[in-house]
Amino acid sequence: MNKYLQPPDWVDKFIDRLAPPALAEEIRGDLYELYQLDLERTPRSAKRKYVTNAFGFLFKRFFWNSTNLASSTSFSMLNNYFLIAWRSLVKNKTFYLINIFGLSVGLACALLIGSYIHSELTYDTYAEHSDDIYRVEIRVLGNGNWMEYATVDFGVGSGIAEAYPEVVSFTRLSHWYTPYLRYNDIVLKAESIAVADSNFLDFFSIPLVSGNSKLALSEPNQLVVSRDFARRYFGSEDPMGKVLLAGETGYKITGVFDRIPENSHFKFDAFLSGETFMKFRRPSWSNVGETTYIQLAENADAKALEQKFPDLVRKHVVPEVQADMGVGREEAEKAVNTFVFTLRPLRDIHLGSHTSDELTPAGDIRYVYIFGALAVFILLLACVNFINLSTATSARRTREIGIRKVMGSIRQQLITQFLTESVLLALCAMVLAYTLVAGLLPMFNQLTGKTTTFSYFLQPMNAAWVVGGTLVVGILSGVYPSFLLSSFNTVQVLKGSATGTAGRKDFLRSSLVVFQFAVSSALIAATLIVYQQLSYMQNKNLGYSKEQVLVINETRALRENEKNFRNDLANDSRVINASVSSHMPGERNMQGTQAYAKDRVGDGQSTEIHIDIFRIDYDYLNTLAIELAYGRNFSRDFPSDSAAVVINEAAAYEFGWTPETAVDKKIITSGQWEYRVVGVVKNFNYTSPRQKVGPLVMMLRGNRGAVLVKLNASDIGDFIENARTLWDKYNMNGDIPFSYTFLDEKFKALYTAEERTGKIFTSFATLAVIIAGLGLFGLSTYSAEQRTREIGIRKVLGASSRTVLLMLSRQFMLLVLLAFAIAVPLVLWAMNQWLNDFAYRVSIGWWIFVIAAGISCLIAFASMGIQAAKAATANPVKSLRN
Amino acid sequence: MSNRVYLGELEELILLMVALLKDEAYGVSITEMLKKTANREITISATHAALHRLEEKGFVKSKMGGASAERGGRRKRMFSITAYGRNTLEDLRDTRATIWTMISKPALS
Repeated sequence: MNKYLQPPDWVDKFIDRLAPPALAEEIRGDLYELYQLDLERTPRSAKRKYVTNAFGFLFKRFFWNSTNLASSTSFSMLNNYFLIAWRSLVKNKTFYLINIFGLSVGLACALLIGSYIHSELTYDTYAEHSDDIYRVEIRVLGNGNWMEYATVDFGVGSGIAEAYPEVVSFTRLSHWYTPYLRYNDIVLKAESIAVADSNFLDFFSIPLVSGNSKLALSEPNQLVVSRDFARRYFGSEDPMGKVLLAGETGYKITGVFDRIPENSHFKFDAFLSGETFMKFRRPSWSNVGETTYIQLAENADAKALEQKFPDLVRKHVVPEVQADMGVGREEAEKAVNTFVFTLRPLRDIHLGSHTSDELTPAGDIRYVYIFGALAVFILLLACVNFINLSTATSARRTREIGIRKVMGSIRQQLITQFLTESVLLALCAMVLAYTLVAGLLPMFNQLTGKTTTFSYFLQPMNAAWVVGGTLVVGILSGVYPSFLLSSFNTVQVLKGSATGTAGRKDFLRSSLVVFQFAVSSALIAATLIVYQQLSYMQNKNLGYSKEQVLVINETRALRENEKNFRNDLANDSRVINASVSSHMPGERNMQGTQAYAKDRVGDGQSTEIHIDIFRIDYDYLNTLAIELAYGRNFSRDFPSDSAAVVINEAAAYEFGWTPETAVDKKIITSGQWEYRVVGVVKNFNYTSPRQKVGPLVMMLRGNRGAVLVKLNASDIGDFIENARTLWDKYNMNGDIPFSYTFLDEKFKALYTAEERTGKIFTSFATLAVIIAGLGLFGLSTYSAEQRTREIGIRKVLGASSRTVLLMLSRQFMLLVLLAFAIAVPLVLWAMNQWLNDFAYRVSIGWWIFVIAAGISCLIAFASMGIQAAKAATANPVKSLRN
Repeated sequence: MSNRVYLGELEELILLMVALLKDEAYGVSITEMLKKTANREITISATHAALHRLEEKGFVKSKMGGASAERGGRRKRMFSITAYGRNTLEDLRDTRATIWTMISKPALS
């Protein structure tokens, strides 16, 4: 028989070892026979079934009742170990409870963080060919920086697939900005609908609950929706074949999927067939907007393919640039030298890509590292407690060890005994950790923005990891104490003299305390710095006023009444100013163009820059209190302002001017449009405050979409109600409801990532401090107990309670301070790395470390003070009597 | 019934299988037959556990049978139903039949 068809050998050995001899033969025989049957029926899973079948016996009582294990010596010894462990636990309740509690907190942290990391690392693995899928991206050199775009133009996907045989297929995805979809009386704003090519569902292996995945997106105006989406419109009715209306156009539901997997870099509620817009689309190459994925043949080399892309750029992009900018072929070719198509592996998107047009907020591999390190550190802290307390209490068990040795215990047995004990404690901690996880999970999910469920931790694979990890933790933290305890000299311990090498032990214990406090004070300092940066960013002067600015959305629905709506609002006495513009600071800006300064053409220094566009009206600058550096605002008195622009200081410098010289100069933008600069505004932070202000051009017209209203701070009253009434008056076709936000609230949402980091740091710093505090509490209890006689004698000889207290705490306080000295440079280095990501950052002040030092000292003192005080104030008669 | 016999649902099915398979009743054949006749898929260890309980209660008896190649040369434990087991099964069937007639009579009238 083929060797491959043999069942796994180790299972047989396992059964032989555990099963009672009387049963081993029949069990193995039956297993083997079943295996042969399974080989014929389901050859692929036969082996797996064999293993699970065999393990099934372990859960049956008859297997254990008659087993040979119970009668063996090692088993009865194990029984004895359990017994002794239990007695020892009852006797030293405090220490063991500290141990178990500390360890379970550590394990719970590790579990939670582990789940977070696991989810971050397994993004986009659900597609069948996820390893062969790449996203096509563009890198463009603009203004001296390489800018990355996650999307490409409409013609790129099909062009690449045609040109290279190793590209198996491609698919495209783009946002569908549709405001409202209606079904009977139900009108809802559809937030996340994507336009997807017909092969999209199969490309990403998204199964349909109903409908045919090959046909569902193959014709115009077809919608494939998630179950949730369908429920919102149709309740319990069958969504298939139903029609949703946007204005007059109907979209038919042709498929339903459950939902997009949690760990996908796109999360859409619905997909509209790409065919809907196909006839309006031109396969152009030089723009962006289509998220394009290609699937390569297995074993195809993505890097080699990337090398070939410049050919495509020359063939397709150059002619477009020529036509667009009105330049010769040579100049166009020079311009596209810095226009590069790249491929990014699908699985790298979530953690590796940080473009501004990601479909969902990207993760960050550094945060994975940071949190991984946090988990490891906290777990280590808990292990350190364990080691510390076990060695500290070892003195109490020297007699037991001596007797065991006299009775014939060999060293290995003693080691086994103590390892059993620590593994047992670790397992107890694990059970407690699971309860903690169950309790903390909702909070943790809020922190991370994920939706992990408790059942995730119970999945066999994950649970196996947890149990395995717990065993490792138990063994690791038990190794040192068990070797130490078993090394005691029999005669000496029975005589009651020295407990071995006291000096070395103290050193180890001290360095472990130092380690613990170094970690926790580093975390405290780091937390403080994160919050300092956060409040700095939130309170930074951004160059515009965001307070009391009401944003009324979707005013496009008012059609030609949009302006009247704005004017009526502006006439209200509570309104300082109002402006119509869909562009507002703090949002990611999607409009931009290439541009160059007309007067610098030919002087050899002319460069084309990429510049962002805001489309505004005459009142925009006043509404947001954006200051002019030079020149003037748009004005109704100058009809020629329709061809005028206002730029920001950054743009002035990029074009090679100063704010003063920029006025009246001309710029040429993509499409060969010429504009005259009439004013220069001071730089205001028009995207995220994390980024430096880039060049911006503001122009009239094309501004429709939202109304910004600057309100009188004192009294808003029923203004919003008035605005709503006004809306209803102007909103003729009635589909779209009134909706509004405040600009500063929108702005706050920008900081969720930093706020989250801050909260996570706070939580884990707290935990680390608790664990370290517990450890110190245990140690000081022990140390005070050890020295009761000494303290008694000292007091009899005239020492005051205060001196005793000082004496007891001095040793630990020194350690805490030493720990702090170690932590400071580490924190400085690590946090500077983190802060370097921000264009505007705080510098780390020395006072942060003073506060952090104060907090750790306070905690250290609180955790040992009680014990020290108790020992110091005790009546010496009591401690000296026995 | 003289004294109360407790026979679980799965135990009853397996006991029926032992009776059905006569001289060929052992772990694998019982599991397979159960799948075929009653469409119940249970693991081999569950079959073994049930057989052990049945033997303890005295419904079946067992002896080691012959080895064969498809078992890798290992012997199997053959089970056969005891008289007590058979009586119990019949009792159960009769009790149920009686109850069923009581259920259907009013429906007919």
